[in-house]
Amino acid sequence: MTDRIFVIGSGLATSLGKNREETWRALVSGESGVSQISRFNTECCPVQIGASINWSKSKAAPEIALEIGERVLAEALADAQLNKDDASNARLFVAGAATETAWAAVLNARNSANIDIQSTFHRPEVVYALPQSLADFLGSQNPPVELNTACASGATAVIAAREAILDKRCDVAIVVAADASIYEESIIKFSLLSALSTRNENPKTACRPFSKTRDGFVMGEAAAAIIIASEAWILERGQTPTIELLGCGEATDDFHRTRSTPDGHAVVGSMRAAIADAGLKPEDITHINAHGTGTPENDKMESLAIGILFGERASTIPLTANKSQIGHTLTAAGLAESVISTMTLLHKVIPPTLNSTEPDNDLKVNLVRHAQSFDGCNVLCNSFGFGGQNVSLLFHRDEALA
Amino acid sequence: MRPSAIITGAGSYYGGPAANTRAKTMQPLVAQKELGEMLFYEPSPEPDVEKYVARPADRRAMGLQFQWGAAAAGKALEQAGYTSREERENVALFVASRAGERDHDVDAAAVEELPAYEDAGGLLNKLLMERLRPTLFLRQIPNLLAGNLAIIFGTKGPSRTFLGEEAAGACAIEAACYAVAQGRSNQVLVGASLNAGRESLLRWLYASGAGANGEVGPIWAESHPKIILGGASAFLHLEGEASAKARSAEGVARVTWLGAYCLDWHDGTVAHDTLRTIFEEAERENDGLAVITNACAAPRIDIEREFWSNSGIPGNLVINSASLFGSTLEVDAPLCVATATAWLRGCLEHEITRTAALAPVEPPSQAFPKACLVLIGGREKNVFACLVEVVK
Repeated sequence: MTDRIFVIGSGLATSLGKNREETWRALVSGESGVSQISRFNTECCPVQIGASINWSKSKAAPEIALEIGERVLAEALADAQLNKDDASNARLFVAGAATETAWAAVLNARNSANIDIQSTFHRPEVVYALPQSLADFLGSQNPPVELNTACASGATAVIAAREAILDKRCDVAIVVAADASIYEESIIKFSLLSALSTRNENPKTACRPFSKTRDGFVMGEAAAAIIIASEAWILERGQTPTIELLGCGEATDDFHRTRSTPDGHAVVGSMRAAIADAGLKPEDITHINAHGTGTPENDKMESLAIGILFGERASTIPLTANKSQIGHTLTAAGLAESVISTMTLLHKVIPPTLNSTEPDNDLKVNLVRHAQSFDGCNVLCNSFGFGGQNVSLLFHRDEALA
Repeated sequence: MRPSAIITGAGSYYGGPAANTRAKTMQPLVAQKELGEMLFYEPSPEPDVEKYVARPADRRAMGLQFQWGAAAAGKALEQAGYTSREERENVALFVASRAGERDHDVDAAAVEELPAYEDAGGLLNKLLMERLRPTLFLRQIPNLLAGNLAIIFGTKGPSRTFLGEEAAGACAIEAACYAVAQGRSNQVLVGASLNAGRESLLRWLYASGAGANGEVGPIWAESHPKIILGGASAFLHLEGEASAKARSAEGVARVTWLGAYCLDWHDGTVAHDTLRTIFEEAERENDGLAVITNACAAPRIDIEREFWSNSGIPGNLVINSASLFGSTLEVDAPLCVATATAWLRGCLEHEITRTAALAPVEPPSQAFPKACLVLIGGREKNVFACLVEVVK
């Protein structure tokens, strides 16, 4: 028996929809989830837009992450036809974000006789509540594992989960990411790094990946879940999933805290490693789900690396950047875009990259501007993060099983 | 076959009773009588940051937590015998971390100058925009400890950062053992760092009622011990036997991953059964055992005290890391493994272990065990176990 690993279920919640199907329909329709921020007063804030989760019951960021994390986990379990007994032996991997000061609680704590003492300043019990809360929800018999590789966290968690199955630590692994980082201090810190788009006047056209007029990313919120399992376990259950997690690659860049090596070798390295791990060649890649943040630096380096790896084919491989629609969902981005990559393979449609009316001719990529049909079977999904994190995942549709 | 790796380098810095340091105090920004003065330990001697982080720009890019981590990592790499950046290219980094330090002055200014949140309008945004430094964010992102280590030491292997306090350090060691045992990485640098002198962290501990109001005695003596958080950093360099042999690196010990166990410490029966399972597994191939546990909260401390008192292991061979270093959260696991290594090699003074022992009697006349069980648990849930053995 080979060590093939398949995706048996997934869930997704974004600014575009409460579940995977809602989000997928909106993506393919070319909708944008970016809007004016209404969660807090944005006066004096250079950035006043975001792809916020506005439909949740919870209204504060850490609680939103908990709510949407549980939501996508339940969706993924149902999609995989797993009840909690089936899932209790699974290992749970969570891509986690570090939350920060709840300024409302701090400022109000000073004059209050009845202080919510746990809510002031940073709240570790909320930060680390997500993995344990999800484990409790599952009735898990294994402690959860929480990972953070900045904006590559979701993809890194998939690699760790795959390794757990390959090591025979488990037959089934569940990966969850939930990020709700649209609050004052987070927006301001990214603003101070000049990472965010400041096109406040027209939110829906602000994020412009691979466009000549791109000026930064738009922060987004999302949760995603993917359940993967060994082929042997799947066959025993009589299931026939068609999407295989065929390859994983990662490469660490030791050049700079926020920028890639100018020759792009680490980004090339992660893509090349994923393709080699899958037993494929670059010519087998038929679609790239790009990290595509819409920052001048990221898109330039990703395009450069794609050009180095794929040569002349770089300008013909359909490439899309989901962040133009759902924003950059930070620690959840790698997993949310992995779910979208699997949906692309299932539905044979590539969702569009919005706001690319002015292409950057220096970037030799084949940007998908309108949803288009897709008849390939291999999607390379890129995720990069501060700290030199580069991760690529390769999803494959097995036509023989379809 | 349980996954294992050879320890060829270890570097650590810590404070507390093991370093003969007194706790420092901090007053909370928003004064609340329930909190009082908050205590914490700092490492002593001070970590050799300038020695291991040569470039001032790299030091400026990090707060104390990351700097201390870099010093411990540098020490572990030095012991592992690397002499050049090129030799370290394939080293993987598995790091347990949390967000770096906040800017205390900015927090203090906000607390002092701003009105109630609902009345602040854009004043909070204005203050944060004007006073937060752009570089602060890069000192705070959890995986930037690993990011800085890659830049400073030139490591290019996989880089993973684990979150989740005590569990994070244990999960990092689990991942490292498997990575080496499965041949995914020949060399892994695994560890963590904690600056305990932070308002955010101390406030949370004291708000929960677990913070100590004065120096604490032996943790084993209490059913509801009070805790002093300990600033510390610890890194281990792990590799496979073939790699160590090829590099002519001396193995100082072997670490074998035993398992991660889901439990609620309030369920005494399950906790006891789990300890029994772990103990039997650890004992299987070892005639005698020493034990290091990070137990420091109720009800776990009572459960472990009873279990180890009845285990047959002499009480002076069961030590509690919180009595040595304070509670070092993410650092507990790598620091306990480093301490076990030193203990097995006879490098821990009896007077030090005596303060942390379950029964501080004189050392046994028989030979010291050749294996040490390391138990790392959360305050409320779960426990992780690994075995440190003398290299045969």
